[in-house]
Amino acid sequence: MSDKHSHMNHSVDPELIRKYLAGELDNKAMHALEKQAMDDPFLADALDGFAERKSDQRMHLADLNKRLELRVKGKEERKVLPIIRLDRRWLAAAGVLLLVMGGLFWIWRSGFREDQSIAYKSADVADSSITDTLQYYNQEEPMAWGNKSEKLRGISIRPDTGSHIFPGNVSTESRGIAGILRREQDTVALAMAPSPSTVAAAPTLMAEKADRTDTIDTRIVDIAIANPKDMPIREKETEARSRNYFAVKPIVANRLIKGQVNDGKNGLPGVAVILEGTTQGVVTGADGSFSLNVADTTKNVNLVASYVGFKQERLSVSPRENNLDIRMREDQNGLNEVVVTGYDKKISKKFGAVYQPPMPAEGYDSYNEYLAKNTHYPASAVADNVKGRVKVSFRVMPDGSLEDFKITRRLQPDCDAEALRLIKEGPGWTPASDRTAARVTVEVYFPAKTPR
Amino acid sequence: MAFLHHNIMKDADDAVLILEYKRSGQLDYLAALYQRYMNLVYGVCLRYFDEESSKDAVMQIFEELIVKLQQHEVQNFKSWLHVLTKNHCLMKLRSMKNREGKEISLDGLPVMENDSFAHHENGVSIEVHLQGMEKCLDALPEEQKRSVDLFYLKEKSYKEVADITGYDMKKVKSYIQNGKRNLKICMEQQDV
Repeated sequence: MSDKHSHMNHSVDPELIRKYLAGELDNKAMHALEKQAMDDPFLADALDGFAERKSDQRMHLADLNKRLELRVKGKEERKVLPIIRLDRRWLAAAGVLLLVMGGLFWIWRSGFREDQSIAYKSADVADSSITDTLQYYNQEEPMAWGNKSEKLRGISIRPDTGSHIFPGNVSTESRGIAGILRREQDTVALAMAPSPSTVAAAPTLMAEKADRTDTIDTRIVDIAIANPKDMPIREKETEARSRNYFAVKPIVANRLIKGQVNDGKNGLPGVAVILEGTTQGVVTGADGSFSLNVADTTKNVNLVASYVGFKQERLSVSPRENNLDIRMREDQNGLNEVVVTGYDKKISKKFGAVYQPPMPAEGYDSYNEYLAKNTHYPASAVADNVKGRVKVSFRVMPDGSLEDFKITRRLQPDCDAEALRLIKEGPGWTPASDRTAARVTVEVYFPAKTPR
Repeated sequence: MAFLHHNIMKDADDAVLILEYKRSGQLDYLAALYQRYMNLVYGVCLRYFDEESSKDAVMQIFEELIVKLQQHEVQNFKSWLHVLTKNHCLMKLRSMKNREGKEISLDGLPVMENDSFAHHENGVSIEVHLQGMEKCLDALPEEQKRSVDLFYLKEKSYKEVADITGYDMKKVKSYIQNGKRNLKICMEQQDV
């Protein structure tokens, strides 16, 4: 048992395999690896694969390592970038805020009391370059002079597991500015309590990435630091009259791709839409519409739509494209590909009796058994390592005799001859039920001859 | 923290990495796990495709893992990965066959069955019983007997066995495999 674990859990050094195949190992090491392979079908399989290649595979393996690294890193790079961008943007936003606050303070001092707030533009924040990963929601109430209307920018962050999105230091930081901190199960709501005359800005950003928890933390800290500077004193003076929440909700990151499959005019029902490379997929409804959940929300996904009689439609969908219109084109060849192997089909007119095609006298099972047992593998085929099928077509005459042999699928001359011999010498056939000659095709199988 | 993290990636059990991946969804864990067996996966793919397609297949299998590991409870990752790899390759072959109308024979390729799991467990302890199986050993065909004897008892490599006996290298391997299987059958009958 311990032996089992020692090799079960451990990988085999690629270098060892290479040396083994290159004959660079001593006998002892060779034996060790061979013995391991004896007990480990995976290793044995891989060794066989490598052994079939003469060339050095080190380059390819190094390439694979790089690709794997890139695949994993690709996400991380994208993960880091937004923080830096975000910082600048928040700084900009903070600057604007500071100005506005300064202005307000001045206004307040010069006698405009109560009920004033300023609608504050932040179009510059919602720069398109950032919308790749972040989305700002700006909800503005027109003409914010008056009463408690404020500009809302709320944050919702969607990490994939909810438990530890909001680490302690963040909440304490936030407490400093916010005054109130609410914790409701998974939802942390920060209530900002600005005075009516101040501008309250609760930033909204949508983090699309599921695994960006650390990034998210950093952002929140940024906000927490930025805000107390910009919204000083005032907040502490007054009670909360209006509240802006910014809520951090753990929502399972999922992307819902919706769409409709049509043939240019009408929706196509029953079309299989599959996420390429997976077994995930859906079938379109009566109007051709579908919706498909995709776990990975960051990279392009490939969808494949297939439907009988139409050309398979493969399309790459970028993360922001969630409403699709898939147009399928008719496939002219589509139906020609269906190969029907069978018998001349005739319906007997006598009393509407059901036509029975010719049958082996003892039934198909025993006929197949006969074929399997009596197929002599021609020596020449063994030598050439030939394997495959031979198809023989012939007519079963009304008296049960066989005529007009044709080989419809050739493999190798000796195999073809063997297939003919088998059928000619084989068990008899029952003619078709309507007592007419009918053509039948039989497949003779020459499996790979491996040394047993 | 980073150091600890690194250690987990390197030394942890497969099962631990799987758990970490499932818990956090971080691809790092999965990649660390996959890296352990990537050469084997690649080797298996080489049996079916050329180098470039094999590499693609290796990456596709990784993508498959990302999804499947979240969905399935995997006990023995290595064996499971082996099966997954083979199935992926066979599926790919099949779709290639359909798309290009090319006839690719699947006959020679072993189709994975459940007993490969069993094989893994059964095969291992065979040496333990070697002492008690002299009788069975004697009952084996000559080639198998010599090959098994040299390989398991005298610890010779395939090449040495081939040199000593004069058998072909490839045959030596199958003699040992078949000898081992026959021995097992024989031993089981003895037990009964």
